[in-house]
Amino acid sequence: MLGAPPIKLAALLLLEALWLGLLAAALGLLAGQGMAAALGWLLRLDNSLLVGGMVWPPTLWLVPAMALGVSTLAALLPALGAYRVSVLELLQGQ
Amino acid sequence: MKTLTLAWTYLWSRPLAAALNLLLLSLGLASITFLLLVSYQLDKAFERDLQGIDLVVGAKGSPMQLILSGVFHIDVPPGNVPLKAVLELQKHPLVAQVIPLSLGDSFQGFRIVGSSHDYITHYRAQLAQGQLWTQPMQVVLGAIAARKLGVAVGQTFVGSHGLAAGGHAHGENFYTVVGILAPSGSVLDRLILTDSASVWQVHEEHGKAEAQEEEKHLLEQREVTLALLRYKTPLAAMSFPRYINSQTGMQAAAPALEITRLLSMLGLGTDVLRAFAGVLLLTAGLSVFIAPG
Repeated sequence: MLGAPPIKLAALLLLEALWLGLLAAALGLLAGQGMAAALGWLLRLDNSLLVGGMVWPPTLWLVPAMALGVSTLAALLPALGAYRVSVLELLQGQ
Repeated sequence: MKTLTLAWTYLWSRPLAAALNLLLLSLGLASITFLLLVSYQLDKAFERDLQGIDLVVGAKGSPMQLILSGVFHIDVPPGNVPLKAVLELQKHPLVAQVIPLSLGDSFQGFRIVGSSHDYITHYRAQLAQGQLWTQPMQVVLGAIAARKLGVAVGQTFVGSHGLAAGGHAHGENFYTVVGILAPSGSVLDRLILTDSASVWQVHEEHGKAEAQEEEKHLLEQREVTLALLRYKTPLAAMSFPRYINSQTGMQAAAPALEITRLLSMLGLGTDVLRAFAGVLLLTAGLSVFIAPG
């Protein structure tokens, strides 16, 4: 990313984290639904409690919120670092 | 837009690091999704199946076993109690309704529950096909039970002894399906319901009580597994369970109390899973933090 303005570099890191968060949210939700469905299937062998997958309670919004929160927070410091770095100083240092 | 595409390309320019971050984050989120889904559905099931049941009365033993077997039908009951003692409860001034349940048999893993029409009315279940039973040995199937068994109105079957599949068959006692309930989302969906007299008939040696005198004699001997009770006033919760436990040979179990106990026992498991999810998320966060370079 040589020659890119610092703001663009920082935005790039944050957007990368955002992509990661979005992908992880989708995969996490699907895998969680799969795990609940598997538990439901195991329990239903015994005709017991009604637990299953593909249920969408309102509290599930927490999952994408956490995904985006964790990934953005983790990328925030590196993004700030990238924003502050002076390309001139970097080149002079080398 | 260009930056978004660039960020996507940049993410996958280090495929191994990106895949590892994605895996860690997804696993943590999957654990949280799983916890949210299970607790939501269990809460709903408890709320739905316990609605309007103030007390469960049955044989002495574990009160939680009584609730799990009598309300949720996921455990074996501790034993039987005399029908006469249960009928006496109906006369108590603090009791509004008594619904006796008789368990003991099943058909291909689905429990056959002997009760009265009150049990169906209690959960506000509606008939999808046919009618309710009008005489012993007629059954009404819950929606899930009917679908899984593939049994239609008019068909007959023989129940087997015991609450799990694999018990010996009750040879000559055929149940006839007279109705199928619409899905209610309650425990009734996965039960086979019949008159209490059907369960007695299957288990009594003579099959049918022929003479009136014999019928009277049998009434003295007959048992039910448990009874679901509704109070006339919430104040009854203060004294009635103690009355049952000390003055009768039966045991009273308050569903609200037992479910709180059950949830606190399950709490340890969910805490462990939550901590595991937290560690995964933290690791994923650190991994994202370290990776950009």
